[in-house]
Amino acid sequence: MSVLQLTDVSKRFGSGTSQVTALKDVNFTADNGELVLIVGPSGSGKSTFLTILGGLQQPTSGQVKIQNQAIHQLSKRALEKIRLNEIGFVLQAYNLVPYLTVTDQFKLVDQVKKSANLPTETFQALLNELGIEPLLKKYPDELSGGQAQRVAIARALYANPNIILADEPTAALDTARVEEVGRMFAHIAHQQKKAVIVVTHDTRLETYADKIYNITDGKLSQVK
Amino acid sequence: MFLALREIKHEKIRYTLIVAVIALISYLIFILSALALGLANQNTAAIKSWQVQSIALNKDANASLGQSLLTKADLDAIPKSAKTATIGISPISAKDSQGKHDTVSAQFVGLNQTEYVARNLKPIQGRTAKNNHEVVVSDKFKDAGYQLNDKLSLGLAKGSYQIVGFVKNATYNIGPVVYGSLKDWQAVKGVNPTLVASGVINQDSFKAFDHPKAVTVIDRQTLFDKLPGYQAQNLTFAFMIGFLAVISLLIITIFLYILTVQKKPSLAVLRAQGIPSQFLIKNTFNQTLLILVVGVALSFSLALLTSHLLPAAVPMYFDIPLLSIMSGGIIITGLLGSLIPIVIISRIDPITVIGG
Repeated sequence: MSVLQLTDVSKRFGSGTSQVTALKDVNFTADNGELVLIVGPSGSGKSTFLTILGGLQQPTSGQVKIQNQAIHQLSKRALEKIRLNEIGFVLQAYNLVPYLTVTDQFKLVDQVKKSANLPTETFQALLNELGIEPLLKKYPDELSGGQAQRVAIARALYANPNIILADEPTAALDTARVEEVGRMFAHIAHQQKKAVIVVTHDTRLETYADKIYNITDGKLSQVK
Repeated sequence: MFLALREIKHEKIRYTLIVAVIALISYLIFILSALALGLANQNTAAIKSWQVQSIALNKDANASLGQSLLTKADLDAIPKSAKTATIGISPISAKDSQGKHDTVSAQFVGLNQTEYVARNLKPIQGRTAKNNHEVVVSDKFKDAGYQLNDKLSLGLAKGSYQIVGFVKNATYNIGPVVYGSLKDWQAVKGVNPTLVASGVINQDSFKAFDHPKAVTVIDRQTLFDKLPGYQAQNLTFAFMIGFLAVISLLIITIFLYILTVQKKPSLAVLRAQGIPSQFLIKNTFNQTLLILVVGVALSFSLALLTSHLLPAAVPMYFDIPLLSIMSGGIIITGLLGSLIPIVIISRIDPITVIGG
């Protein structure tokens, strides 16, 4: 069963002559264990696609299901709950709270999600795997771009979501770091059986993807 | 409190500045309140110590006991009880008969020694007056160097008056009080013997009685309000304190607004990640409460320290219950300042951080 499903989703902004169609009849599914790349030029509708996938905005028409639950009729609070429990966001910038140490970034998740976070042993293994252990007492402004992105990924995983949504996660990274992040996402998808959807301009990530979709002028088409 | 405490710990200088500003404004409010209360107290302390509720006096005296004169017939018409006292009040110059100490501008209060005011006088030093030409004076006279058994020349009276005791909280219309007998009041004021008192004070309301034409009854607040400058002074202080409260509200709001706007991108990420807006709002509210409580507690302590260091001549009265109420008022006003940041947080659109 697909963890994410978009059926005939369209999104239009404005009205009359100034109306813009950001997404046109998009059909999309993602399953656990898949790393899916969404690529496309600027203004093609990638960000709109990601915000609709994450329940941050509703489509104009069509249906969105997260974990087989249609989200168009859910309240703001119910959507917050779904984002907290089912989705881990990894964003391009401002990923980490600037005044929290790396340890506290994880404790913040404990504050709002009291159960079903990663068990201590699994969490410890994740920290080792991502090389975060030595960074635990540092603040975000003491981390390099790659370190900060690894911490952001670990934080997204700490809440133990089934879905990871990443928005341009390699925008500020050099090639070595891009490969590191690509391998990590593939590992998370394949080993931890998560659905990882990455919206990106970065073609260097294509090597690691199981599926690749292209968005142009709001139309989604699978290219791999 | 999770985010609030950690942010304060990380941004020490920023929050120290905010707390310092709150503390200084609160301190200014406390000092002005103490000054207002101190000056008001110098007008009314004696009357308050007599626990007066109503006053019968000459109706042409414009509610001023110092201006009021009653004849024996007027006085006899006013009903008396264990809770009433006949008094005569006159502003006077109290001079040291031996010329050693400065002259003090004071208020002479003549009492009937058998009535409750005289009976309840509790000197902190010496004794109560038992005979004519003996007076009990406010301890403010001590500041001018006067001691027990010093002799005073009072108003228009001939002869001298011996200080036999000192009492606290004895000021009226800014002047320290000199307690003596009603007979001495007549001499001090220089009135003819047909005028026997200024008025009758009552710890209760007067029961209805046939007023002589010359007599009227007023309540305590009317008496205070008619004291020269009393209302103008209190209103001026009330305006100053009110403006300071508004200024403190504006400063706190501006600080919190700037801080919240600066944090907007990371707050939007937290919202995108499903952190409930209630959690973020609660943190902002608690953070505001914390900095207000710390700021006000600091200024409260500073105000108490000031009260111990100030010379007695400074007319300040630090009333702890009143300062506590004002502290609560400052905190509640400050919390209003957190409303704008709370509205900003509740309106943050997490979409703004996607696609950046």
